[in-house]
Amino acid sequence: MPIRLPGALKGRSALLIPAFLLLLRFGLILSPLSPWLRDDHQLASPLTSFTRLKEGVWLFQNGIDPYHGGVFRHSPLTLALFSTVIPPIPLVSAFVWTAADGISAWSLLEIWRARISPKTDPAGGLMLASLYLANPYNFAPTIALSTSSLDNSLLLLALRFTVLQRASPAVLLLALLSFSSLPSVLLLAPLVMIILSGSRSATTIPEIDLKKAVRVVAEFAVYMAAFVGASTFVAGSWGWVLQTWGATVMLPDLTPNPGLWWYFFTEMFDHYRPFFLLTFSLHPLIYVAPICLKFQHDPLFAFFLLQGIISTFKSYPTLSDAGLYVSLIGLFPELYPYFRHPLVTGLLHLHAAVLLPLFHYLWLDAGTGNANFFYASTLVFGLANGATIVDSLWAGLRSTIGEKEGWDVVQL
Amino acid sequence: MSPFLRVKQLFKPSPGNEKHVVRLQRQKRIYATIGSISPYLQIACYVVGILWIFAIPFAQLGRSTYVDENALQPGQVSTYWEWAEVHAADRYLEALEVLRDGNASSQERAGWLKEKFADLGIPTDTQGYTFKTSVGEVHGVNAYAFHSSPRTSGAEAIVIAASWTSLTGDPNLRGVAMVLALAGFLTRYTHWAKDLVFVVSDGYQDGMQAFLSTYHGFNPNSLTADPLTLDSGVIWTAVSIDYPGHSFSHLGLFFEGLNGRLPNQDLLVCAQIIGRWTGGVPVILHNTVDELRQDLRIPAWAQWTGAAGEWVWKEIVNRRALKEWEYRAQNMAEQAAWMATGRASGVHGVFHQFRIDAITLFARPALGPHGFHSLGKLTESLLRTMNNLLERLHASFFFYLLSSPASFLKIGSYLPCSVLIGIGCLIGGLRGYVNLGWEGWYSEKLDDTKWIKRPRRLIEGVGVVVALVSVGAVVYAFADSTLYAPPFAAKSARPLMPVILTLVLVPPFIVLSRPDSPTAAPLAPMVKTCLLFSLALLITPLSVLNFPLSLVLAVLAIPLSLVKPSSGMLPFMALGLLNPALFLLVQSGRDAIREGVWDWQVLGAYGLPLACLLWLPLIWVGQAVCLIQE
Repeated sequence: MPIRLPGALKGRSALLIPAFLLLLRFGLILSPLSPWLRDDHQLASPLTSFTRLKEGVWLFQNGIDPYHGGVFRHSPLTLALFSTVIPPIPLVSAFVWTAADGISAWSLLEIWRARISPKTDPAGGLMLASLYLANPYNFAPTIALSTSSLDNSLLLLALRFTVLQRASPAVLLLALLSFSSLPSVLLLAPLVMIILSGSRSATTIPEIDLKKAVRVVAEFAVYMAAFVGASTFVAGSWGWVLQTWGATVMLPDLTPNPGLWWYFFTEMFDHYRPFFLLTFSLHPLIYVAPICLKFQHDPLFAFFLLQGIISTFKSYPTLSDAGLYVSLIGLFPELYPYFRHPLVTGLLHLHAAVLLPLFHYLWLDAGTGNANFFYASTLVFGLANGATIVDSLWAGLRSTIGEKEGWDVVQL
Repeated sequence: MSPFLRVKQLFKPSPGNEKHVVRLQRQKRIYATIGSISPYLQIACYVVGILWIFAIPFAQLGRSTYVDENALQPGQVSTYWEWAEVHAADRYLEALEVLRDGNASSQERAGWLKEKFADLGIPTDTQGYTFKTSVGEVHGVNAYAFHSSPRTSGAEAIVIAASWTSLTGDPNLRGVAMVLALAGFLTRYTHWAKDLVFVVSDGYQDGMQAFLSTYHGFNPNSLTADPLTLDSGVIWTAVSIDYPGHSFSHLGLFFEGLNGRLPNQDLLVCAQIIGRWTGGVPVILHNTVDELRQDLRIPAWAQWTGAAGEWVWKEIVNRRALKEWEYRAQNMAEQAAWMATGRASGVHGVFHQFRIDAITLFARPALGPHGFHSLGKLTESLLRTMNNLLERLHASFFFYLLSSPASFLKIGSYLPCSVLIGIGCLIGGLRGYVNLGWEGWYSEKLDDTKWIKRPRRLIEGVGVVVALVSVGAVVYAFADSTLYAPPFAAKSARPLMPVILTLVLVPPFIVLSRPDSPTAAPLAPMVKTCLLFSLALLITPLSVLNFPLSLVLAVLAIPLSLVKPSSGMLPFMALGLLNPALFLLVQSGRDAIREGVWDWQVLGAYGLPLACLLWLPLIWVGQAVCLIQE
């Protein structure tokens, strides 16, 4: 008779928490709460809104080009998926979004296992997955059926394949992701580095197999080309490029979101627009090389930092971008003792989480506040995300030095 | 040395480690200073916050009111309301008095009103409604009439309303007569750019709530109402007329809406200017006459002080500045009381939830000198001013405290007092959190304390708060259900004693049932830290949503944050005295709770959930902090 180990029993009952969280999602998506949240600016941007997706699918099925006009900005691949395989009806979408979050949580668990030896802390990975599912920043967008939740699961699945050294599915998924969230292309560099040198932190800078790197990048390029072809085939013209990727760069839709772009460009004089659009779009690029160079010994950490920068500075973010970044911190428990101001960062996030819905309500529901109120709260949110990045950066650099009794690190 | 090199030198680390050591020492010194002064900083925040509350009524903090929207141009028109219209109103009043004396039913009254509106040639109908609540049912019939604007497509509308019951509780006969007379008069003119909607609602606030809910397509569970047969556009402004007496001496402005909502200040300022200059009526806030109090005589117990006492009474107690302070404080306290309790001060209060700026014009009952003539004139002028609007009133004018009809405080001058107290709580919470992470080990040999890190029991602390809020939720579910209705009706407190004692004393003991923890870190300070964090997170954001409510929480936060962890039964009992369940002890308290349940179920005023989900748990968490023994 097999003996059940106490640890195994504990592990099995711990599975109840993510299972409950997934069931709760499923139920809430089918409840009246979901339609009520669906068009909330903090949960669904013009690029990820379910309402717009439905509109696009309807136009497409009725023979009207959905990319003609400013409503539909989802990628043609999403359009193809939702107009053929997955009809956007409540029960099916509830299932798809719940499954996507399940995949995200499972991928996160697998990444955690690959990064950290599971023997030391068997319940930690499951805890991380549960925290991901319970985080309101991830929870609420799923209830609102925002496709940003699907983007998150694509990213986490891609990262899972990456840390398991399976290059082809990883770059395939990343290519797919860059169709719905263009800035994620920047993650290719750390992704290739993880494939080359593994997901764990190394003590020395590993040798780089340049040939393999080129092969992976070339594979990515091939997938991208194939998807571009497929998209053009689906959409019937090149119109989708300006409406989807173009929107990310040119910000034609000034619908408010928790990001840093919309208010700035609402206030912008037209003749300055191109310059600042260029600046804002190119700005995240400058981080890629320094971060990848500095964290050659730990490319997964470089991936994490870049993801944070993208989620803070992208043009149409939702709360799930920040939710993903915050959840990824759990992959680096060795950093916890080295955070410089975790309390301040935590309080900033807490205040942003209260102020965002509050000022959104004052502006758009009660009518007693104006856009500046919500803008102020998005600034607090941006500050919180920035503080998280700066603090993790510090902790990442600091942890490589280690601790010595009576000594202090003054400069990195 | 070239300037370039000199600049370069600045950024170069010095050859030795001196500079870094100095910097490090400075940093540590700063942290130590912050740590050591933080208790004083917290107390200073509280003290300044409290002092600020007392400073709010000073004239120096406020400023005089002004009209922000230039399109309004209040009081710039010649009014046409004349004695013929007053006569018409008097005729309606006579008929209404007959209806009142004959104890006419709601249906009969509404039918009569419909007939009168139809006689005037305005499309009209009645609407029956029923509210079912756990403390009883109410039926009523509203009468309404829609006059389409002769100039525009009817995209916007203005409501002229009167409820059958006045805010004094008397029948609002003259208010209803006024609405009928205005309907006959206003619809004769062609300068309306907005549709005019005349509503005579039954009951006090319930009739208007039923009408507006149906108009906006909201269907609260407690309401069954007939659909409206007529329709118009978006309602921008509403004026409710409340005239319960024979004549009136002052025009009182009532403006506080449900759940602390306020109308745009421009509407109030226009009413004040027009009332004063077009109507010739002194305008007051609420029912408070704008007179300073009489001089106080020196009381018998202070007579012995002789000249010194007389000086105190003459120069301080009876000083004009103090009297003015009292007058302003009284006005603001009334506004704050309405807002903090979430109740509406009149029928206008149910409009605000639909983004309609609404006020009640209250004709303060007196023997004279004003009547239908001045009230009609100023109402006409006010409606024509609001008719000028081309866009909604500006968003920044919703945050104010009125200290007198013509002076107010901007948000920046009153907000700091509750925010400061919130910051005080935050500082206290941060200090508690940091301290909990360290444990001092005193070594006699070295005569030195060594600080080592220890794990905090954050999850357990949050757990205590969540558990007690859940108990509050159970209490709420119970109070909101029909089960709880009979006890409110009780005439004495004796049958309620078990309920009161349970609510005041039992829930905090939930913390004693916690599972054993392997860590040795204390729990009581952790719970207190969580309490302080939740207070800070409540007070600061609430201050923009509903300032008086956040101020009440801030005042409540002070005793809660001064409670010492594990301090035993005495503070436990003292905190119990702050428990809202004690209202059940007295008849007026029971009535207030009954009213709170009614307001929540009919109007959606937050009093009941607030008391159960916020106030009770906060006190309980405070009591739990006293209770936990390590």
